[in-house]
Amino acid sequence: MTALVALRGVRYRHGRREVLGGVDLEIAPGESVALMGPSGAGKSTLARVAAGLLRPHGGQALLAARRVGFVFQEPRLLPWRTALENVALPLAGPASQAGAACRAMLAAVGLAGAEGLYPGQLSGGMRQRVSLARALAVGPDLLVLDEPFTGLDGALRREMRALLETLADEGGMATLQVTHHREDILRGTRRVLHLEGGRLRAGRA
Amino acid sequence: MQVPDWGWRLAGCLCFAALWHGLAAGGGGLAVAAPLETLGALAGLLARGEFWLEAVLPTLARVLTGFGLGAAAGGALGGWAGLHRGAGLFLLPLRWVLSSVPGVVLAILAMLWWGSGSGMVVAIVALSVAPTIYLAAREGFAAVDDGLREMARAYGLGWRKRLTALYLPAAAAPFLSGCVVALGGGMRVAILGETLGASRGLGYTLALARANLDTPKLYAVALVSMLLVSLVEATLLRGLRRALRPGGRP
Repeated sequence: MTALVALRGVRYRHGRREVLGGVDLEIAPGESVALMGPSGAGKSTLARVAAGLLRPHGGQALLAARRVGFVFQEPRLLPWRTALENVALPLAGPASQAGAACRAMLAAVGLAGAEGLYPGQLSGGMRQRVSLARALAVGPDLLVLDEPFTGLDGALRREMRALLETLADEGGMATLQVTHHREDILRGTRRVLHLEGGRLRAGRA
Repeated sequence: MQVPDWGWRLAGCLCFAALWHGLAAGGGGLAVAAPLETLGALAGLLARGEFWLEAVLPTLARVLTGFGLGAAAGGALGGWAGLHRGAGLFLLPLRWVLSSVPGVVLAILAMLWWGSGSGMVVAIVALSVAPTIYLAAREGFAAVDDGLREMARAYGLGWRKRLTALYLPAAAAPFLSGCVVALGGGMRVAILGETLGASRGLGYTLALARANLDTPKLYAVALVSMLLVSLVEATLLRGLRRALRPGGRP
């Protein structure tokens, strides 16, 4: 089976500091991988290289996934667009054409009825759910989650995690989840990797 | 007691009119025309069809054409400079020259290059508008949140969608503020240019009024130019605001 992501000997520097020092990683279709490590270890950088957002300074990064959904630490919504328009943003054509699918996606994340609200009218948790709906709306074969629970309180964290687990199960997509906390790792994650000193090592699943 | 907004506006207008009347009474009417005399002259001008055809419309057409050209050039170059630091540095000398040259120097140079008439007035309006719009667009584009830029890349948004969904709405507020300032400045230099070298337009009417020592008419023409700027602000710029920020929310 062709890997959706194949990183071979990937190196990446921030200025003079080497963040990734020869990382190898493969993610198969439908596979869930969690990436842990201390702050500043380069987890987000690795996630961005895997998603094709950053070009490595050395090694090879092959991205075979055709559609990638990305949930950032912050929701990153356009404040001048409604929830529905934000979800429809990555889709081709105007929001009106993609309306039904996007409404369904908002309903799936528990935001039915909030389609016409602007991000400024939504709570932090609701905004993050819109961001998740946007990532899912593209029908991703790879979903990258870069600490999506940051800033959410305990109950909301659990609720978001349960939602993600359900949607990831239903969607059958591969996930690459960056997290600080072991308890945030999605159920069904087969591999937990630790990034330290610019290198990956396998951890306990 | 809470004073409503319209109360403050009315009080400001009345104070201004009283000050104006006091200055006119003290100055004997030659240097400062009284408000009522000015309004009388204004009514007389507006009632004449010739004034609309020979003064208002030529000036309005020149200002709008010059403003459109200046806003298009300044907006495009400002957007480029906001996205690309090197472009900003490359355009710095041109921007510096255009924003430092006084309007009267610009008008005289434009007369040398384009002669008298509409071409010269349109050119000086465009050249005076462009640097203000350039700066506003540059600041607006440069201030677009890095996180949103990365989001746009993550979802592979094409350049047209990035422009219409991200950059233009994000830059709309500074761009439109720049447009308001540039429009007022454009009207000033248009009238200056027409005063120096045109045979039609508000500036030409102003020059005639000055030569004939017709102070109320001179003040009335100044009022017309102010009303024109307000009219363009209320129509064109409001429409532009709606187009750039559909939905109208920040």
